[in-house]
Amino acid sequence: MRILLPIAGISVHIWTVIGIGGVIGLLSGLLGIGGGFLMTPILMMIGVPPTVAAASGTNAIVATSSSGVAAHFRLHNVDFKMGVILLCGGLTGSGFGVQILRLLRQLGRADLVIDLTYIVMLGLVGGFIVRDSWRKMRHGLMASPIHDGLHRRSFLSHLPLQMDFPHSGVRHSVLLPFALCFLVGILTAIMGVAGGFVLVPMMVYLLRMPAHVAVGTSLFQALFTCAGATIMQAGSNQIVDLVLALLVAVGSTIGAQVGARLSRFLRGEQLMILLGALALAVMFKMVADRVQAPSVPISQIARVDFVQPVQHLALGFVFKLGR
Amino acid sequence: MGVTVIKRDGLREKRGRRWKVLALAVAAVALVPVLAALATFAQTAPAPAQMPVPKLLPEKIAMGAFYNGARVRIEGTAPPGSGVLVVIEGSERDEFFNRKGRVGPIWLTVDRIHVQHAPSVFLSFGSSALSSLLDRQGVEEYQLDEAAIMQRIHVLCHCKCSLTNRAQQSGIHDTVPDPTYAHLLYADFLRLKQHEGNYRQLPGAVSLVSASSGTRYALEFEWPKQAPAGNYQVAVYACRGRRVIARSTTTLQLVEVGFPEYMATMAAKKPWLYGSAAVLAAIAAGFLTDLLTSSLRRKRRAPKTTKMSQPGTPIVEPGEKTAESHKTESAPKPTQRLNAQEKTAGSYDDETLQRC
Repeated sequence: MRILLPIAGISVHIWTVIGIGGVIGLLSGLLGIGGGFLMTPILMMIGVPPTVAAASGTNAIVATSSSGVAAHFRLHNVDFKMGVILLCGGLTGSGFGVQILRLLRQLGRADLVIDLTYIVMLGLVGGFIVRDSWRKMRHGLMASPIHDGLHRRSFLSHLPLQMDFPHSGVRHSVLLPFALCFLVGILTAIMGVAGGFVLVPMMVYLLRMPAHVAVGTSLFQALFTCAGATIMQAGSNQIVDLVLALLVAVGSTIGAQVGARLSRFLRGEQLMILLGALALAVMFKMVADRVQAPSVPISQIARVDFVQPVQHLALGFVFKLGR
Repeated sequence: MGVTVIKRDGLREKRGRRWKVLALAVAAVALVPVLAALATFAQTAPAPAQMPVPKLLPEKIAMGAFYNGARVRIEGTAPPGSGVLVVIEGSERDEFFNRKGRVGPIWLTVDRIHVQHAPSVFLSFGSSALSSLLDRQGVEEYQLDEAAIMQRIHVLCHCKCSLTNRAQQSGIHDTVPDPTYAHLLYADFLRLKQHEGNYRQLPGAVSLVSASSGTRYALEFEWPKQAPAGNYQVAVYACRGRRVIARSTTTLQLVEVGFPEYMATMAAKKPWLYGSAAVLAAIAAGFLTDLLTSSLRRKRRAPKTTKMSQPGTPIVEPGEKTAESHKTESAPKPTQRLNAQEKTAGSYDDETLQRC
């Protein structure tokens, strides 16, 4: 059965779209990634215009994240305190990143920097996770020197605003998660994605949060980021297709539920190795795409300024509070 | 004195001749374009006559919620002995593209391209090959093939604008590319449109039948599913002796109706409300799915707990009460349901055991 997408203006098979959502939702629930870096290219493959695909994908991630957050909340996998700090850090960092991106565009080499950042980040994150998780799986937890890495560093434990995060079972200065998420925010502004695939490893390896709690908390953060982006994209550019988003959401929410349940049957290292393998697979695909000559060298502009609307939203709130 | 006067007269005569020669030369130069224009006017074919307006079936394509493309039929009558060309064109719009180029071993986005005045759809159907129906001059005059419409499309490049739509529309940093590069960009754009199926040429698709009133033509084709809503101009050209002898035009409407129309209108007129509604709907969908799956899981768990119960429970007929069921009669409904399931599960286990 086919259905017309009112904003995209194309007719698509319902089950194809739901199936796409299902696969992305499964990965989202399992690994705590929003799925933005997979959603846009897959929707473009079925003929959705790139800008509509990116904006509607963001809306669908809201549904996936809310379903994932609810499931993870029931499993006690969401650290709200940490989530709020990460959200604040991420929004501030993304605001800074947008300015860097603007500067790069003025220099005329933004696309080159974005592409290289993608490849390097995916390669580094994926390679590190796979290597570390493989070592843990083979030789046990003690094999990893990172597990207690930050705790050893005395200057971090002496930072001001120390706070207990009982849900994650860690104690950190508020400045640490804020600063880490600030850096992730800069990267996500440049790369144009929500950044779950960078945030989850950071929470696990640098903040020493349990992998399951990191996944739930990352989804909590993605829910707010994507909700803001959807409202801004609909308000400024009118490119959010609700029908497309809901169809993807139907598949992705079911997939996210399955993913969240499935995550209980996998150990933390296994989850991380899956995330690392996915990041490496996407990186290899990107490298392959850039080495092969394209059949048609021009393509419609795909990337939507994803974080800028969120930054505007955050600034709007701050402005209102200041009044 | 007399010699001086004669000399002056001679000088005047000489000057007068020079002016006459100059005036004649200017007149001759001015006459060249006039004569050329006259010659062109004399060569220009008479304006094509008007043909009866073609009949469209359907005249309006409604894009409802379950729109799956449409089959369009165009028919009419052309002057006797003529070939027919049907051209369908969508409204012009601006589009933005990234262009990839080789930088060392890899392909990277090297330029941003802004295409202006490009028709959204260009479909050309002929009763035979275009070159047999019209000469090149006629094709370019009426813009009847993709190469001809490229003449009115403008390609600009190196737009360093922001990627949001609002900034794209401003297009303030566009520059005109050099002719060699521009030629390459036109070719790329055309290839992309053909690849998408929005620009197509189908010679031999129009069928002709000779009739007493003239040549009856008919064309039936699948409307491109990805074509956007809007008005499409349908032009029919009757050609004879490789020239257009008659033409007629009409409009085919592609309109969104029902739910898609409502959504598109709301997105355009109340964008902030639409955005907020989209977020709320997505959150509701997420929590609803979570609620459904968790309740399903609870239902599935119930038989699992009964498997843990003793298999030696006596066989109970439906409706029959046992001592245990009497005890649980006053209990809330979920417990009753659970007990019923327990009994059934218990009896099933007994039956299985007996069979064994």
